[in-house]
Amino acid sequence: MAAADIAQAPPVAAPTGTGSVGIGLHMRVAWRNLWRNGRRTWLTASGIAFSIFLCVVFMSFQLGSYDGMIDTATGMMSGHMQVQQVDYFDDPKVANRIAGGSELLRELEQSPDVVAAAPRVEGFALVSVGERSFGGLVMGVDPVREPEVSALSKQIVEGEYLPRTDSAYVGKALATNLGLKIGDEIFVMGSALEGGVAAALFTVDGLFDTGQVELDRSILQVPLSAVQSAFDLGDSVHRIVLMGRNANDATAIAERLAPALPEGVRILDWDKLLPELRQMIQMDAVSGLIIYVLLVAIVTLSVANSFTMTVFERTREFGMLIAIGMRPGGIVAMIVIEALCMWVVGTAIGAAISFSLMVGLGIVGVPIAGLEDMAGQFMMPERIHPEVSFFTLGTAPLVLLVGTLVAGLIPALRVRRLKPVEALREEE
Amino acid sequence: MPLKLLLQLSWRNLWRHRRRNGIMVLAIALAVTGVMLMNTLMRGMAAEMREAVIDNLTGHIKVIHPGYMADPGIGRGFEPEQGWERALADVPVAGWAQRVRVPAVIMSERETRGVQLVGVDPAQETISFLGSLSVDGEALSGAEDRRIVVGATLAEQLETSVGRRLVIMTQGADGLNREAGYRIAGTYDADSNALEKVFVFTGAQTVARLLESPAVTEVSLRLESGDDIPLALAELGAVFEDLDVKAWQDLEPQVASMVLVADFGLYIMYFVIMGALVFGLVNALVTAVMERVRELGMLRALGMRPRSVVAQVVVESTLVMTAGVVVGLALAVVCYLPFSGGIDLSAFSETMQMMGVRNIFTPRLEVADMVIVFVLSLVLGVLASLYPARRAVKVTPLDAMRR
Repeated sequence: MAAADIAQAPPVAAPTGTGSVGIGLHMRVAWRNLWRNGRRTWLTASGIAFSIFLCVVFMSFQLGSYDGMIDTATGMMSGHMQVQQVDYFDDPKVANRIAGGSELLRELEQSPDVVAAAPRVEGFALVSVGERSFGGLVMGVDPVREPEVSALSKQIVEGEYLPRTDSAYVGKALATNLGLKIGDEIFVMGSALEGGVAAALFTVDGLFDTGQVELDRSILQVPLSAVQSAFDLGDSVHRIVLMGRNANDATAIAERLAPALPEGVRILDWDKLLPELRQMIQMDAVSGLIIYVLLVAIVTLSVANSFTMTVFERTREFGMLIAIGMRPGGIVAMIVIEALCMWVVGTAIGAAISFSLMVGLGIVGVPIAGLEDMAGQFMMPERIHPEVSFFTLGTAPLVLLVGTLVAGLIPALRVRRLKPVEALREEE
Repeated sequence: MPLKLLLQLSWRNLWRHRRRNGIMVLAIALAVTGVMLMNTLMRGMAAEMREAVIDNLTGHIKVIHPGYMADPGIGRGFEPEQGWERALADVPVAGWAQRVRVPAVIMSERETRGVQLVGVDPAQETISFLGSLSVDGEALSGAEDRRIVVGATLAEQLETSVGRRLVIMTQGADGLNREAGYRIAGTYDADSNALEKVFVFTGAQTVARLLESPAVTEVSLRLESGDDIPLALAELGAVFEDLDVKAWQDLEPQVASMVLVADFGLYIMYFVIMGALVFGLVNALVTAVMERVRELGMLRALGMRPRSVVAQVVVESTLVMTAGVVVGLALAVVCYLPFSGGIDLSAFSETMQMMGVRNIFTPRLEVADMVIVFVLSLVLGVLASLYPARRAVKVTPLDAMRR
């Protein structure tokens, strides 16, 4: 009777297909297991949180500073893109010019990709004031268009930016060296296109101070037409500086514009105009990457260690679970879910702190105090806005998710080799 | 408890959990190797930048007129007294050079460029990059040499070559322009194109004749050791009373701050990476303590002092740390040795040149840094064991019996 009852009793839990127990139960058991040793869980999760915090903060600042660097560097002089005669970049001499500059400028301005465009003519010349003289780069610019592509006009400290056709905009250092003040006349002399002498007279109407002495004492800007006629250039220009909406689109825009350009003229994006900028970013990115990889590797190892300890301590428990019918696969799944929960706890803490900090700083920006010297030299802006994007915030947590799961899985796989009898004999 | 017994106990405890402690040692080693290798790169970079600016006509110390930086020209020159160098009798000096450096305009038949005209005495220039320059054509023969040596890049830009003439125009002390033609003796190839475009060299007396002034604009010194700079500054300051005596750190503040950043970089990287590690280390140590509650309780019951229990945990932690650091440092040395001769970085050449670093980059593994990492790790090992040790002391014989 009793035996028959047992035989007829509905089978409990065991043979309900392959899954045997539902995922909800797995989750609940794993979560409770995790808090059986709360101290260990907190320590391991803190490790995860700490490294997520560091990676997120470093990455946001690193990428944020790149954007700032690119904007500052391209905004100073070079622009996002430039159209030049094919040889001009390697050999910037007066003869390597684009004929029919104003025509080409109008065409480029029609393009929806181009936000601003400005023509430039450049020539090396001797700048003299009375008996004193100095060699410098004379830059002929369009006083209306130029401020849209270059920040130089905003670095004005005295006077006005090229108000007349014979105005000159001069660096403060050059002015000091030549004893110049606003209203003084300067004489500019260089070699013109056909080998003749290019000469012109200008009046200093504005002074700029960029903080880079090299620039301040070697460049002066004057109206485009004056330089064109002095150097016998007619309607030719040397560069057409272009700005897109965003520096990151420059390469794509350059590719779109290239086919429409006349023969013997090419377009260069800032990558090519300022090769040292791209390389500096790459070098910095590589050194950052090494630190991230180290951080992730070390935290993964410490999570693996934590789970190795857990699995060893619970050998008896696992043996019993197997003895009463749980499949080894189920135990592995449970441990992996425990690892997942561990990641959730660590990430929640690390992400909560770092995300809120970065979003806050991303809006306000962080001033680089005491680094003005370096900021000038390395083309840094005055404030860094950490980049807040899926990439900077999400990468570290996701990579650590993989790391944590692997760190849990490897010790867990031992369970498959577990013999229930031996496991149960194991000392607690 | 005698130290030997303590060590023996800790050592055996560690070997009871080979896998766990093995992973810890591996993690520490990885962290230390990573930090050390990054540091060798930073140190190498800083050293190269420092050497490059010292080589580029700066030297360790330079004497200039106070107004020269803002208004470089012969108007800001001076005439050093004969025998001024005797003031430096007690500082080992590698060499010194007196130069006239003025801004000038150089013209070929086709092109015009702005340059720095530097009048030198080649015999004195062993202290700068000029001494080890590879010149195509002929180098300057002496301070009286009336020819010029220009950079290869500049020669290309001016579309000229060795043996042809160039016109140089500059200002005399009276502010009036002087100009003269010079034959090119040779073209030089420097590490950086920027140098080649800027510096045009000729004999010091040739420049003096052109400018009609016997003055020099700078005296540059190179010491045997950079450590003597403060002493030399003080002694030179007494000789050149009305002039600026400046160390390279003041003349090239950007490079000096980069070198400083490299000094701090080691500590920053160390604490970032090791910070992540400490969580794992504490975890392993606490587990080791909690597993031994029975054992610790019994030892206490038998009369072991709390002090000895603490010592045991501290020693265990320190042993794991030491093992990790030793392995890590050894690994770092092994990884470093193949590159100790230099890494070819021509792929990054533009940045390198901008930062004043040559194409062949030599990382530097400094023993002092290895000692710092070792000592910091021992301190960290002790700190990490404090919490586990406190747990261990709290174990009473009663706790153990209840288990």
